[in-house]
Amino acid sequence: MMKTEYDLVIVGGGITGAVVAAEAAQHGLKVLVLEAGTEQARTFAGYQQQLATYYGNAVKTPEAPYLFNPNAPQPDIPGTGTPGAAYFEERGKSQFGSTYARTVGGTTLHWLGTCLRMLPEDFAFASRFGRGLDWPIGYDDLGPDYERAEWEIGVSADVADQVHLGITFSEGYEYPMRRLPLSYSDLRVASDVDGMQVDVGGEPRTLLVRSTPAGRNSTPRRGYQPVGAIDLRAGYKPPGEGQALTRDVGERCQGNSACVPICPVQAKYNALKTLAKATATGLVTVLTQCVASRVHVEGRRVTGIEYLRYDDPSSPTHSAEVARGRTYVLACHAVENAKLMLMSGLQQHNGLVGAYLQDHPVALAWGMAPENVGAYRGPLSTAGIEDLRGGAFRAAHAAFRIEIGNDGWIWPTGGPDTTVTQSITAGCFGRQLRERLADELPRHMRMGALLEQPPALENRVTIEPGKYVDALGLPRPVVTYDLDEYVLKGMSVAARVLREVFAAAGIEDRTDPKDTFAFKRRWRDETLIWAGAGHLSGTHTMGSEPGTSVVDSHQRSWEQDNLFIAGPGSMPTMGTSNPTLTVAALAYRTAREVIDHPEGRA
Amino acid sequence: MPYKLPIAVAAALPAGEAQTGGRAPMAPAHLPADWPEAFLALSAELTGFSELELTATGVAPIYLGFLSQQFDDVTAEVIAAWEAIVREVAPVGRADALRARVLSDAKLGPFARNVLALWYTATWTKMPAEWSGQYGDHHDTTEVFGAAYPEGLEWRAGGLHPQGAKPTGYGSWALRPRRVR
Repeated sequence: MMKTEYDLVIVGGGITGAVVAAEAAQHGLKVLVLEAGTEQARTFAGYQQQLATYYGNAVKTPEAPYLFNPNAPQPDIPGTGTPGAAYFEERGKSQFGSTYARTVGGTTLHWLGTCLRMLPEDFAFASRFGRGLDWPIGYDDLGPDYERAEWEIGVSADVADQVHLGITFSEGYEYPMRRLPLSYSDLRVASDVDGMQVDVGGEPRTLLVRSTPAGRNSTPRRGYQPVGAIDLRAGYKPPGEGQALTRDVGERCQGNSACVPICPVQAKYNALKTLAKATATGLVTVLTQCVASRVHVEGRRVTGIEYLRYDDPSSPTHSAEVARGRTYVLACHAVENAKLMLMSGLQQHNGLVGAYLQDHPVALAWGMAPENVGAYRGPLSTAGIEDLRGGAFRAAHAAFRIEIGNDGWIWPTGGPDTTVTQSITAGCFGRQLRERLADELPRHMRMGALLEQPPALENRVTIEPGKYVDALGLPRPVVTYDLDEYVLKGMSVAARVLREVFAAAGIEDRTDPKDTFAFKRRWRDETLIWAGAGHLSGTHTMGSEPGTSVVDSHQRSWEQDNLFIAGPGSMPTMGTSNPTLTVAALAYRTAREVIDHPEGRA
Repeated sequence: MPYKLPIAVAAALPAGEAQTGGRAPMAPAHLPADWPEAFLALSAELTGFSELELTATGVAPIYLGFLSQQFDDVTAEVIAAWEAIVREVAPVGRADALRARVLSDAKLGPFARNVLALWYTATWTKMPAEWSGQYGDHHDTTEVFGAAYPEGLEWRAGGLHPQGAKPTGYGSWALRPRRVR
């Protein structure tokens, strides 16, 4: 069936695949994108169905808008999801708490939208702090690509807020849109917290509540047109693939407060917007319900990607086909990229494929503000405390950024539902119940400390073909994961800092292991409470030479000249920033290589 | 003063007999013809929202349909208990009477609390096994009424908007929140 010859075959329709496809097509290359999931989100009607699924889901996790797809299964937050249908086979001492989406648009459908750049010191983690890995490139190498990514995603921020801990911007640079207004609760916290000092690493550090850059439409600056919701109309314009339109909704955030897992109007960026640009060139074909099953290799060249094409998510019936191009990009996120490489027997020599799996464990704290602060309003987070992302103490324990939530107690306790049901069980009803909720719900505050996790060989993704498989017979990921002393010590420090911030802001601390569904970990004489941030990375790390890495600094495979393995899996370390912005910047680097060398490495 | 349901709403409800949908038929209970009005009055006392506020949510038919299909016998009993309270107790004492006669009752109490949670969270939690074992398995499951989700009373009670619906507008989150009534 696959008679067409493409210049570029991309596996994965998320942000990496979309950016590379759009760039390549704009330079005249013919591109095929293979996506394992369905294309439900590509029409606004289909997207609204996902919204309805979310409304009707009892557990509102990042996966809540999606129907279970046995042919492209994805992980669930532990304890949720279809019973008996767990995707990951877990081996490690710690459960793995983060998920990703196998659907067109990828995980950007349910991400929060935070777009922080990494710190310069993050790129030299090993050299500076004596553990983990160094990147083969530095902050200055990525600067121009960060700008491209910020303008493609559409990031709302003011440069003046973001110059801290060594982050610099090019002369005259501004973000495409103005920073989103901080929430009333942010401002209340700031009035108490700004300028306060905490002791970290034996020295006083000053804290500041700071606007968080976000891929979420706000008021545009000159030269930028916000992109709203995407709607794909079949046959609207040749070639038959269909023309993606921008609907007249979502051009500015309205405060739906459900960014995770679904922005009802697509004011939040998702990769469908970049995919729409790609398909508008007429040179990009997107095939959904096509699960890549093997990378075919002859010596130093990839000759094709075999994939299983299914017509109906509820039936395993499929046909096997092969996609051919001159260059190939694996872009299906950290775990799936590693899984596909392992299934294909690629790069076995150094045992690094699947190794160095990382996440950001998030230490959670929650409490009652002293007054009505209008909780549960606005984007789920508009500000954070970024001052502890860097410093000499990183030689001893993990750094962290603090995310200030606008989302009440949804994450730690499942509020307000659980507040309601607990009150009812305690005998509260009628006027008394209504007044109690009126008093308590608007005071619900939540903060989270996202901790860095250094790369460890023992944290990895492997496969056991034949033993753990999905409905199509493809291997399910076997995940081994744990938190080490470096992370746990950092988590303890973070929990202490959060208590101090709460105390300064007059927030009555209600953090309690018995009230939460999050992970609990006993460490020394305290119980640490944490969850996964959804930031999987590290599984095909980049480096400066083949012995100690899987890809080079352009995400090109060391073993195959016409193969790139792209996405957060290439990041040797994440530092403390949410990775998507860096992932997009790296995708621009890769796109340039593909365009400059369409046949592969010279 | 009983609030009359609009005719179109009343007509959309299934008739008194239980709809069994292929499951083992329940003994038909006799829901009185005006049971939607009685149910709304009872719900007002239970929830702390007026009958007008509850009707204004627009989701009463969804809950009435569910209850008459799956729990018509227990619903009839709760309504009978409520109507006795209305006959015998002055309005100011009805909350206490509800607590004493319904919420403290081993059969009616857990059911009434579930109905209360349904109004507040648009979610029905499956009745516990001990209750079903004692008072009959009504073949219910834990489910969220997605169409009713935006009208869950928890949001109104807190002066909030439902997450994912009824957005309050760009920048509204920066404003001092209104005092909740």
